[in-house]
Amino acid sequence: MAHNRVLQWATFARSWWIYDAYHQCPFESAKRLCIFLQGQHKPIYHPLSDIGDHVVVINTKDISMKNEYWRKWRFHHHTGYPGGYSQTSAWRLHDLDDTKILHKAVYSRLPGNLLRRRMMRRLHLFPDTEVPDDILQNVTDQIRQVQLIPKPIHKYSKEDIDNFPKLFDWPEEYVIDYSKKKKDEDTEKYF
Amino acid sequence: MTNYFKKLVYLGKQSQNFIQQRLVLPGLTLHRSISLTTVKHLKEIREEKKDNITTIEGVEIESKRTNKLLPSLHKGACPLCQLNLDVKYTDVLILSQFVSPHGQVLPRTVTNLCGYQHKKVEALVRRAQDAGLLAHFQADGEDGKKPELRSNYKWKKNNIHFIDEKKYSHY
Repeated sequence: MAHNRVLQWATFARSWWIYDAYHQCPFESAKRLCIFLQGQHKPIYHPLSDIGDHVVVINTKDISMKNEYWRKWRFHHHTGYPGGYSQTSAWRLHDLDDTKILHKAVYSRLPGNLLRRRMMRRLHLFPDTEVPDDILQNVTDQIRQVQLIPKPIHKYSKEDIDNFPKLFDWPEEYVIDYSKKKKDEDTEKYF
Repeated sequence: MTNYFKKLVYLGKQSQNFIQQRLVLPGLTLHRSISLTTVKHLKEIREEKKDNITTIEGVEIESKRTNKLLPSLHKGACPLCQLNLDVKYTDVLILSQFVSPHGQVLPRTVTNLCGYQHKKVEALVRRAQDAGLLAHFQADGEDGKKPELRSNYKWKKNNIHFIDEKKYSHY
């Protein structure tokens, strides 16, 4: 009957997911994205049956790396010709192409078989939130972010900072000096 | 009257411990209190420019913090040891209290922190500054221009985060 046919379609359909890479580590988010590209989130998973999903990633230009990796992490490339070896640091590659770091992270994380290129074609990377309408109409669900985004102090309102309990009071005869920085809303937060 | 002067001299010697004292001489109707030591207040330095004259004065103010202290804290002891918290570099509301508006950690004589906690706070503040949550020390320009929050130099324009090495968690 139609019931079984619809169930068959529903289980084997290729769904589209969206992931916001704002302030996320590329290597940790690649861990999560590979699961969806291979189809390991489905109970019908098998490595040879091609049941991976599409993943749309936005805000890849706002990716964050840990410690000093922007400067120290190197990407290596060899053209195949003698003398064709070169290496670039992560920030240089990011200046040239905003999406390449995530592309390489996911590529190295996927298994090195013949299905890898096919799975990478189903990964769609965008540096901004500007995504073509054709792709956005297909998106059905969102992948949760891997990292918490910390809040800098200039984003807290003045009331939040004033009402937060203080841990010590100024001693007697303490002098507040505004010589190097003007008395503003920004500096008043610290008093 | 000589008796009263003797008392004043004796009290003057006592006040070498910088205890604030206010005297009201009995038998005399005074409308103001006399103190033997300088009265201690929080002071703020204000600068005003009018024409060619700049006046720099130290104005006495009340601290805004007396009402907002945590009631469970003892005053003389280290506040962070008493609270027994796991402070992370993202706890900006706590760390900004130990930082001057110039971006420098306040001395221990002001904050009442023990040496162990003071070093921890210094390291956490450095991390928060590198991650862009607190501002590095940057003086205002001569025109009064404010420095930019994030520089546009090579790798400094990108986001940075730190991980808890013990737990290996990306917060």
